[in-house]
Amino acid sequence: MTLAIDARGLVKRFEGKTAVNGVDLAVPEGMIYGVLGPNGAGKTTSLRMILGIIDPDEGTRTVLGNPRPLEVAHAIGYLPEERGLYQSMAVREMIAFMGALRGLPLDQGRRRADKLLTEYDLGDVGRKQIRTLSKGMAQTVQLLGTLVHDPKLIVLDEPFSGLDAINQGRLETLIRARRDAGATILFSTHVIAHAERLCSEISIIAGGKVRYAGSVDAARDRLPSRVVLRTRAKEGAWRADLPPDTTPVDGNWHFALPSTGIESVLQALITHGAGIENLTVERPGLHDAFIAIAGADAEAAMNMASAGDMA
Amino acid sequence: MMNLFTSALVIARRDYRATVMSRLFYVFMLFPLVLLIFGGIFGYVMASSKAEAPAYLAIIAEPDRAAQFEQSYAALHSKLSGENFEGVKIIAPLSNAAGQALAVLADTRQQVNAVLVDTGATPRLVGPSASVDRLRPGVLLALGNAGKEATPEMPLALTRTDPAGSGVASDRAGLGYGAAVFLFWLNMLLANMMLSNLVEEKSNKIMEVLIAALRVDAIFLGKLIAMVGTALTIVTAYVGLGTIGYLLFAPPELALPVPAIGWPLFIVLGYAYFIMNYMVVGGIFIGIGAQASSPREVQTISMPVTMAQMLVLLFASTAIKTHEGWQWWLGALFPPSSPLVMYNQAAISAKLWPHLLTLGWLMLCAALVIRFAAARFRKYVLKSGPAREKRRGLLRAQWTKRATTSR
Ligand SMILES: Nc1ncnc2c1ncn2[C@@H]1O[C@H](COP(=O)(O)OP(=O)(O)OP(=O)(O)O)[C@@H](O)[C@H]1O
Ligand SMILES: [Mg+2]
Repeated sequence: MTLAIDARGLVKRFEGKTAVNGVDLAVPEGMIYGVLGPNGAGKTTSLRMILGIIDPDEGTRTVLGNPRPLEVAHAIGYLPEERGLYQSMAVREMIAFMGALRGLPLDQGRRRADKLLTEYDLGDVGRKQIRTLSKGMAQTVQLLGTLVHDPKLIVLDEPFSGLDAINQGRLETLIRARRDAGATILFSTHVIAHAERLCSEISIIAGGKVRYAGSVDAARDRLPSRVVLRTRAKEGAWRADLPPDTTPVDGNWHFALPSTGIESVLQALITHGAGIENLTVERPGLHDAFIAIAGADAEAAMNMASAGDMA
Repeated sequence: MMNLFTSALVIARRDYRATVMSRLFYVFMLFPLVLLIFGGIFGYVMASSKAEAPAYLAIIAEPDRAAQFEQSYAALHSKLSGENFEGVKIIAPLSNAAGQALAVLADTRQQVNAVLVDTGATPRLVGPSASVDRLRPGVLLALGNAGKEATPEMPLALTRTDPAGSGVASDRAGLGYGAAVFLFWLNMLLANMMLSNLVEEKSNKIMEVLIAALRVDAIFLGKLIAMVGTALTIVTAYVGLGTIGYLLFAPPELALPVPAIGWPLFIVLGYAYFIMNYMVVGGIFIGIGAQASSPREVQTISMPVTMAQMLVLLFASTAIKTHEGWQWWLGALFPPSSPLVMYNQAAISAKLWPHLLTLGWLMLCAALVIRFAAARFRKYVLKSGPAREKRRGLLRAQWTKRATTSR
C-alpha cells in the first residue's frame, strides 16, 4: 500500500502558540480520508503544511512521494477553506486559469471547463462573470477548478460548508466518483455525518494532536454499544441489576452494553418484574466516538460554532 | 513541475488580460495625459532654470594670450550689455590642441558651448554651428582688441562639430534629464497600478489558490511582468503617438538634440531601463504591499511609498547634476535610482558597455528583491516555518532543467 500523503510529527507554532503539535497523517492512495476536529483544532494548518503552503516548524511530509509538495503541484487539487475567485473573470476562464496554475494548457482547460460545467448542470453559466453567481454556485465553480486538471490527490478543506443539502449530496457523489477513478481524497470537516458516510479512514484532531487514526468502524468499535431500556415500573429491586453507569434520559435508561452481554441483565429484570416496554442495543455512531475521543469539551465548542452548518 | 518562468507567465498572462480589459485601464490610459501636463510644467521650470546655468566659451592658449583675450572679451561684454555672453574658461594647451578642444566640448561637466583654439598662426573657433555662428563676431572683436590692433579682417578659422546633427552638450544634458524624469513618472503611475492590483488580490482571497500551486517568487515575478507589460502597452501607444505628432507638426526650432548614443539605442535602452527600473521598484512595492493584511492597509502604505519615490527622484537628480564623485556613483549604483541616472548618461555619453553592466546589475538586484520579498511574505504573512527542503534559487532556476517530476 503506497501512501499518497505521509506526514510525520508536524509542528506549527504561531507567535508562541502551538497550533499543531506533532501531527502524523498517513493517507493511502485511492482512499477517501477525513480529518475531523473541532474549530481551532489545527486541521487547516495541518493541510497547509502538507501542501507546502507553509512549512512546518518541525516534522516532515512526503506528498505523492515528494518531500517538496510544490514540485508535484500539477497532480494536486486544493480547495482552501476561504474560497476565492477573481470576481470579474468569466466562469470557464476562471476554471481554465486554475488548471493553468497546475500546468494544464489553457485551451484544454477551457474545453474541460465546458464539459465539467455541463456535467454539473451549470452549462449556461460558463460565460458569466463570477460576481453574478450565488455563493454556492461560486463554490461549485471553485471546486470544478480544483478538479479540472484531474489531480491524483484532492485536498478539500471544509468542502461541505456553505452548500445546501442537495449540493452536499452531489458533492458526496462527486467525491466517490473521483475515488472510483483512482484519485485520493483528503478532506477536513467538523460535520461528522459526512465523514461517517464517505470515509474509509479518518483522523480525529483536537488541540493540535491526532487523537485517533484508523477506520470509522474501528473508531466505533472502541466504544461499547449503548443500551436504551424502557420499563413500565419506575422503581423496584431490579434497579440494582442495572450496570452502575446507567443514567435516566427522558424516561429511558441508558447504559453501555456490559462486556458479559445483555442476557444476564434481561434475566434479572424479568425475574424482578421491571416490565420491559422497549429495549434497543445501538451501535455507537461516529458522533459518540468523536465525543469520547476528542473529549466532551471539544464537542461542546464545536456544536456551538457549527450548528449552522449542520444541514 | 513548471519552471519559474512558465509559472510566472501563467500569472502574468491572466493579470495582463484582466488589467487591459478592465475599465480601470482606460483611466490609466488617460493618466499619462495628466503626466504630460505635469511634464510640461516641469519642463518649463527646467528650461528656465537651465537658462540661468552658466555656459562657457573656452579658450585654449598660452596663459598670457588667454588672459588678454578674456579681458577684452569681458570688456566687450560690458560695452554691449544685453547681449548674451558666455563666460570664458581658460585651458592650458596640450600637444594636440584640436583633439583637446573636442574633448572639452564632449564633456558635459564643463558646460562649454564652443572652444577657441589660439595656439597657432590662425585662431580657430570649434563648436556646433549654432554656437559658432553666434559667437563668431564677438570673438573676432575680442581677438582684435587682444592683439591691441583693431584689425577687423583678422582671420578666424571655424570648425563645426555637428556631424550627426549632434546638439550642444548642455542640450544633451537637458534631454538626459528629461528622459530620467519621464522614466520616473512612468514608475509612479505603475506603482499605483501595482498597489491597486494587490488590493484586488487581497479582497479576493485568491492568494491561497495561487500559493498552493506556485512558488511565491514565481507569483511575484508574474505580477511584475504583467504590470510591465501593461505599462509598455500604454507607453508604446503614447510614444508612438508622440513620435508621429512630433514628426508631423514639430517646428524645426523644437528639434530634440540627438542623444550621444544615437536614437535607436537610446530608445532600446529606454525600454530596458524602464523594465529593470520597474522590476526593482515594483519588486520592492510588491514586497511591502504583500505584507499588508487588508486592502485598507495597502492604501495606507501607498502614501509613504509615493514620498519615498520623490526622494529617489531627488537623489537621482542630485547624482545627475553633480555628475561625478561619490554622489554620482551612489546614484548610478543604488538600484532604484540607477536606471534614471544611467539613462541620463545614455543621452550624454556614447559608451555602451556601462549600460550593459548596469542592466546586468539591475537584473541581479531585481532577482534578489523578488526573492527577498517572497521570503518575507512566506515568513511574516504566511508565517511559514523553517523546516523545509532547500530550494533552487531564482537565478539558478532558469538554467536548471525541469525537476524530477514533470507533467
Ligand atoms: N496565520 C495564523 N496566525 C496565527 N494563528 C493562527 C494562524 N492560522 C491559524 N492559527 C491558529 O492556529 C490554531 C489552529 O487553526 P486552524 O485554522 O488550523 O484550525 P481548524 O482546525 O482549521 O479550525 P476550523 O474548524 O475553525 O477551520 C487556531 O488557534 C488559530 O487561531
Ligand atoms: Mg479550518
